[in-house]
Amino acid sequence: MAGADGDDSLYPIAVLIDELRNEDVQLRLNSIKKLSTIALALGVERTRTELLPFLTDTIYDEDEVLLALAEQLGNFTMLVGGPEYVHCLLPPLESLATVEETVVRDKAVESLRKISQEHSPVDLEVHFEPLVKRLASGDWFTSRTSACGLFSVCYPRVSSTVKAEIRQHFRTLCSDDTPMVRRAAASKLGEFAKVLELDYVKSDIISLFTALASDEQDSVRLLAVEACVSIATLLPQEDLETLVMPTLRQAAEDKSWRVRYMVADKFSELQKAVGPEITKNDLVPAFQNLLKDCEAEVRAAAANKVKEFCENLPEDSREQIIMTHILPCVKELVSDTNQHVKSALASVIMGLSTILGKDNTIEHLLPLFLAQLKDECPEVRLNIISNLDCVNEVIGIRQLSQSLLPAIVELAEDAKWRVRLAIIEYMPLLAGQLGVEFFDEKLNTLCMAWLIDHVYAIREAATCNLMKLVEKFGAEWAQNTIVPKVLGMANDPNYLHRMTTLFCINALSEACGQDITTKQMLPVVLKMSNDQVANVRFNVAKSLQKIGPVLDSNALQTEVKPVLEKLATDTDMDVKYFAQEAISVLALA
Amino acid sequence: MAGPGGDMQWCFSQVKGAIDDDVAEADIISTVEFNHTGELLATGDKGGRVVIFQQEIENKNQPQFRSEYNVYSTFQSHEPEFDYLKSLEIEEKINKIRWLPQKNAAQFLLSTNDKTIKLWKISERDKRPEGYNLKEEDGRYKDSNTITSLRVPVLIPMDLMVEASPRRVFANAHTYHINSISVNSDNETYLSADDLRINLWHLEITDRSFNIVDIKPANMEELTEVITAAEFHPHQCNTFVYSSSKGTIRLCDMRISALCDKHSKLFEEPEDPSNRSFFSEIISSISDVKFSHNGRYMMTRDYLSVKIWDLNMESRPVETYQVHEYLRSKLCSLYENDCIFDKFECCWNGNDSVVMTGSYNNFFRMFDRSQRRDVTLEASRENSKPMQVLKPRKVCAGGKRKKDEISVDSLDFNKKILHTAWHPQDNIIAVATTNNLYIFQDKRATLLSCTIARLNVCRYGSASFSLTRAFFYAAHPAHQAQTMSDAANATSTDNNGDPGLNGSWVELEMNRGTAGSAQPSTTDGPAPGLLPLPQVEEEEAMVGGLEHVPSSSSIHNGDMEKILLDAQHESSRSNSSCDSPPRPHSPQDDGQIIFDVDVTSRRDSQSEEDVLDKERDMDILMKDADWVADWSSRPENIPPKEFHFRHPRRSVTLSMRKTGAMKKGGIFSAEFLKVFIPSLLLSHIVALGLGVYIGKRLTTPPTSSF
Repeated sequence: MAGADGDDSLYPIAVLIDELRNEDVQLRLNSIKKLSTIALALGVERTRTELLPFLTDTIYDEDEVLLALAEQLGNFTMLVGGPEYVHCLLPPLESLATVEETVVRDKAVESLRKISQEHSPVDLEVHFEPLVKRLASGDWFTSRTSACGLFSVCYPRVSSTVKAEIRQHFRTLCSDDTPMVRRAAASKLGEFAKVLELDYVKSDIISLFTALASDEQDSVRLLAVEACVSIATLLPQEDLETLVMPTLRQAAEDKSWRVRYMVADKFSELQKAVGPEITKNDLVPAFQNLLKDCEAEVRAAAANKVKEFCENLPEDSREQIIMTHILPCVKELVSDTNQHVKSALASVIMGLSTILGKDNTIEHLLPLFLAQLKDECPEVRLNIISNLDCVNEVIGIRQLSQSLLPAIVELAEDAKWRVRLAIIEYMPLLAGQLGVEFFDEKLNTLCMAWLIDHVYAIREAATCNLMKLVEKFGAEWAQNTIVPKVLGMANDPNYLHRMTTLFCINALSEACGQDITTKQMLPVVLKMSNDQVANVRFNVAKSLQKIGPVLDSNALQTEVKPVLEKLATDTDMDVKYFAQEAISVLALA
Repeated sequence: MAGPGGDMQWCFSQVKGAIDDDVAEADIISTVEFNHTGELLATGDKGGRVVIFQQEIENKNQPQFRSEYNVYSTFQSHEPEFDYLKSLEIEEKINKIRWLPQKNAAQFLLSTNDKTIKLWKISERDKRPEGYNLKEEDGRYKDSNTITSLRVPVLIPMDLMVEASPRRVFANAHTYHINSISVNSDNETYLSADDLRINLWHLEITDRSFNIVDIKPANMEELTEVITAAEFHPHQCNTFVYSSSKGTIRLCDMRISALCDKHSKLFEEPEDPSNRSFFSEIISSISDVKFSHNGRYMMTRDYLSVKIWDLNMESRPVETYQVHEYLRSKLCSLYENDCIFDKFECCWNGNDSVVMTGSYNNFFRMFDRSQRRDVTLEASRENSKPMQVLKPRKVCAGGKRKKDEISVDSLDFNKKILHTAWHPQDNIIAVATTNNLYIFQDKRATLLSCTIARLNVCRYGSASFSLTRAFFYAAHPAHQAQTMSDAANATSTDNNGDPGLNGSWVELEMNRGTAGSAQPSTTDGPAPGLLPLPQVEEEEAMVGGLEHVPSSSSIHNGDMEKILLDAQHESSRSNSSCDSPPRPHSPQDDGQIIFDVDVTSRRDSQSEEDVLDKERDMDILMKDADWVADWSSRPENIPPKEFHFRHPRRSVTLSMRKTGAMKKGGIFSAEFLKVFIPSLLLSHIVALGLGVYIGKRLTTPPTSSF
């Protein structure tokens, strides 16, 4: 295939090959990414005998080159001659699986897992399985950690004697000297358990799991929690209590906060895995403890799970459990000392109202919402406001509106512009839920005040907000409430405010429709073309370009065109430029 | 003599570094560290370079005959930088090096300067690719039209090349100066400590770190202590300790909470009031803390002593060893020349039975914990004959000086051994003098490999000189000054097994149970507990020890006059302005130590006349006051006004004088001194046996001299 016929066709390939060893990392990376082209040009035979041996030894390179190489090799099966030769890819991937960079190793393992599927059962035992064993008994922990990820792909497809060996290797790695290997084994424990026969899960995996869950290293123990989820799903309900629960209880009360954090973080998964009965008896007290944990990180993680946990409680006793067990803890968290805990709770607490129903929400949750709306931390208030829709469905927002308003006003005037920005983004949502009257009465002035904020990002968001409000409340509402105020700003002494008028017009023209735009907005825009500030003038040109499509052609020709032509002869070159641009876009020339 | 580990006789193995006396600043060694197998030894210097030595195994069949360390790799780890935002120079000096446990064929180490930690990979390469399509091997381009076939490069063997490449840079997390880094036993995290904070890093994540300890007060004026060192427990991934400038060690458990501002154990020895002096606080500052290999004990080094703590006992150390107690009488002059702020490090041997630390005059000390013996050895060019057994050194602290003793006054305080390292298994030590690295080994191992070593010596002279720029072998016979005693000693070395060499170790009078109370607090003992007994020959030891009482014990004998005279003598010798009358303080230096104000306030508050004390005391107090005022009014001692945790250009590391503690509310502030000076005097007076409350004896006469 790579014959000696065409010099021209060989040249680019020759360059690519030479650049495999170029000084410049970028060029090497480029070459590696086009490895398939090189392999195609060389043909399957030479790829196997020359290119792959070269790549096997070239592990001194930069991480990113090695990462690209590991990825490429995963897709190389056809380039080495199809499934019967796929084992040729093992040596380079094996050497990549011992590299110290985790990303490279992980990618190499991923590629190995991929090509393991392309091995025939015979090849798997002859080539792949020995590689796994070599890695598993390697001198350095890097190779042993890589081996952990490979057991599960070859286990289902090998003979029973080999299976026994694989189980033995896995056991050895679970009690490895270095914590890295134990961590790798712990993180793959669940995956490996899934491919194992149930009997072996009970006999082998459970003991390994118990050992890892009581490892001296915190970092190993916390990974065992993850494994717990997948193991629990595999086991029949009647075995869970004896095989998994002791370990899980122990993990929930671990001395190390990191392990407890992990339990809190995985709580809904655990809950689903162990089923309703154990949840009622064991997990509810455990969850209560996590909500009262002494470490704020753990409380925050648990608080995040409150809604999910409650949702997944068994239907029949859900309300009773929440009311008697969970809610008291939640009440305490509302006045937690740590603001992260409070804001985590605020982001989910509204979800409880749908579960508890109207009466309970009004009686028990409403005081909490109100307390949180008055919280000193703006993040807590924002999280409550952003989730108002959940409450709205259950009790209607009116219940809250009296407390809501001061909270919104306070956030709207917060000294930090990011907080103001966040509340503006919730405005359309709030407006929809509170209704037009309430909005006109209380919030309209706020929305207008934002237009003259001294931070541009706020003014910009405010114009965008107006557009969304008009979309919600309709053009007529806009004509009565917003447009006069916006247009009034055209005479403001501050040119930034005059420009805000233009930006608002840009945003509103489409939502308001042709009639309002032509009758009310256009005259103002045209008048502003005489503004003494050049920035305003060229923004007039831009605005005209923007609202042009909304206007009828008559207005365009008679009113817009002369103004633009005048602006096109302006002394300021920016004004000229935008005027000419508008003329050409609107096709008025 | 025969015993496990105790009879080590150290002999010279190698010395690295330039021979000439003028030391380039950049060549000063700032850290020494063996890796976990001891096969590699890394040094960092003030020039930001890291030099790694590899132990060569001469005889493959008998690996115990380890031979010398040769340069393996040299690289520039840090460059000088300038922080434009803070207008601050960042020195390139390597503060610490820590090896990572080996993860594959390559070796990894962390090196840090004041601000930035870097992860380095040191790897070997013995193959190189060959074969281009478009050019010849020599670089000439081929005519692209002649390409008729594609050529894949092949890898061919080449000479071994060692490459050091930076893998990660952990920057921008420290406001103050990093003093320690320590890798966790989980092998995925490490901590870095600066003066006020400790951060926890993941070895693979450079863009964030977690602050686990922060002792910065809201108001910097309230700063009373700084973090001086921190280390992870060797086995328990959740435990670490950090030491402070106040002499306390805090042990934190990371399981309890994410922030470790609250310690779970506080190790602190109650201060002995009779030993209190002006310098108590400075010399109690801990300069290094190290866990033993088994994790049961930890060792701390303060200015004058090494203490071993059992992790289960917080109230006092289980063992205390005096490193150079004879300097207690010299503290004043050591303060003058800033030596009192030197940060000595300490290390354990492989099985935790012996500890080692450095001292002045290129002396270093070893303490055998099981046999209660110690030894002082010297790292010097004179001793650098191959295989020469090191002669134990003795410092004569006072009284009659014996033939081979060195007087305290003749110690060279510019020659100090701050950094030492012990091979993790074998009895091989690396000792850094200013710009030289000495490697010594246990004689027993050496004798066996003597012949091999001799061969090596021949090789020194010829081939190995060109290895790297600054580091070469100086163990050439031509550079050895031969003194009589050395020659004699060398001869006896060659006749190995000379019983006289047993003197390497000096017995320590101490027993474990009373370690705490054996402190020199007893006022009447001629040679308090842990003082090294001067000893020359075995039979002389018992008698001689009693004859030559070290002056350091004199403070407990009530010989205060002598101390003061000594202090005066010291200061006058080191600075001529001592004789001139005290100068008035210039108005602008508000950070200055204002002693006369202090004296005045004392006078106001303590008007009661005391009848008990006589002229003698007055004299002493006058001298005392004179000396203090004199010494404090010297302009060069004015501390900086602003708080900067900035290391001075000199080799002084963290100096209390340059911290905010010096300002109002700090240890040298007027308020503090109001308490401090009287207590200083009190301690002296108590020692004199007068037992009269200080306030009553302070009358107008002493102050009227102003």
